[in-house]
Amino acid sequence: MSFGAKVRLTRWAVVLAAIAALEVMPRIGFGDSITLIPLSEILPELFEMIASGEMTEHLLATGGAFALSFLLAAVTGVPLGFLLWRYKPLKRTLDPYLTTYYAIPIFAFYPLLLAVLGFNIWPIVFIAWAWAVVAVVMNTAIGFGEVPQVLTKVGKSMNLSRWQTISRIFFPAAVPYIFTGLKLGMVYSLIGVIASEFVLSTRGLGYLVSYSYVNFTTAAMYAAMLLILALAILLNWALGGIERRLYGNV
Amino acid sequence: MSDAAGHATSPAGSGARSARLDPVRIAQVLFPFGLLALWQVLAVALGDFFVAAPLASFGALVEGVRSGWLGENGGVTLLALVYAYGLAVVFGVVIGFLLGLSRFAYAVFEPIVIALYALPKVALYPLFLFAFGLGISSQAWFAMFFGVFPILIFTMSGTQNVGEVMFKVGRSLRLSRFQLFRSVVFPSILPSMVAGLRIGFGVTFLGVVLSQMFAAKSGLGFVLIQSVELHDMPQLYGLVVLLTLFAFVINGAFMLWERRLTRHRPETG
Repeated sequence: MSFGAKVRLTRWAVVLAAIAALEVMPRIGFGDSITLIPLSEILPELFEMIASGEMTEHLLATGGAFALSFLLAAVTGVPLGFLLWRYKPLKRTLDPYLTTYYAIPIFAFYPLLLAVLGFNIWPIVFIAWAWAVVAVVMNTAIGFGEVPQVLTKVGKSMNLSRWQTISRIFFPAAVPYIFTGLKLGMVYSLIGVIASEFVLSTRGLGYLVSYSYVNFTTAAMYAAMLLILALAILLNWALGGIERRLYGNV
Repeated sequence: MSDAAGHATSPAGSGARSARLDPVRIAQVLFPFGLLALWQVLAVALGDFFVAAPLASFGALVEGVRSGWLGENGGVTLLALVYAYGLAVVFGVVIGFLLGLSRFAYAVFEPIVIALYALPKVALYPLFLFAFGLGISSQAWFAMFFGVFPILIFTMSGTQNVGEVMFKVGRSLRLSRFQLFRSVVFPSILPSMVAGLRIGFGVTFLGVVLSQMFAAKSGLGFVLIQSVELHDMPQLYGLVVLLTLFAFVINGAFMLWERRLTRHRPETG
């Protein structure tokens, strides 16, 4: 068996063992039976919550906030990254602040936004956007900066105008980096939405987890957790697939 | 790891010699004052129902020190942070090192660990509350669960990149196992590990603040939520700025450490 095949096989074995542990541990009485529920009992609960329409409101709220914050992060982040690359002094000025950005506990701003904007979707969207946008900005700026000199020379030798150079040479060459930024932005905005909903909100999947915890409806809580993790894993997996295609010819 | 946002290195070092005349440096120093001015303008424009003025926010913090709530809740946050970060460092470094030693283990676990890092782990907080009860230990373990991943990932890849050559050199010099670790392996892992320690600290801190916002009775995260309920804007703005500055200073210290480590190191292909 090749090294790669052995690696993949072992990786699957590890993942399956972890899933099996989630099933077996509650059954053999690891932790008490009220707080830990085997996976085989969470799944039917989840399907029932989806079928009965109980989940719909929360799914839509989370999905809406996620889509909105990610779109905002993409629409603002890519142009800002481009600007940073165009105006080098601006980039050099902001660099130390940008690299420190993710060290700041940005969720501390969430209560502040709640107090300013009220208990609605906007504080959530704002936090998720703020969490995502800097990754998009930085990767876009890096992407334009990493365009090989050969390509710009080709552009010059073909007498491309400034705009043509940007649209035909820089932008396509930077796309893989921009994609990485967007991928991170997507993951971050999902985390931002779920975290804000969990801490303090009135609907959404994160809210459903905290609401069920507070009201001791443990099965519903696990169902919501499972759905969140499943959606996040699905998102990462899909983005990983697109990325492999994008980088496939490198 | 593709987290460019996390480990991009600061380019400031190259221009350090002409620091005094560099307009970029001046702009960097002025930037925080610009934010402060913007804050003041917003406070005046929108009124103190929405934006507390900088001076009022600072006053709220001073009042907090005087009356004791800041020291008390800040102490709880710091204690949880110390526990959480200590745990994250121990687990992250040890597991990362062990997984990084073997090419096979690295190949198996690297995608799993990175996938776990990217999950919205906040939603799992109730599990920590079930396991450790309300209070500081559930907060610490939860924040550790946040912060351990960057430390583990960076240590793991740092160890993996040490390379056979290093071991061969060590063996040809007849170093003992301990000497090999101390003077060959550890120094070459260190720069990447410190990057992990820096990012891990930020994430751990975030985990502590987040956990104290939910079902807590003390800590700065708890006070933040309380200030929303009381609509105490000076306290809210003051605390947010305090937490931001704290994170900024610690992160800066880590960056200085990283720069010192890489400065003494000749660039190798």
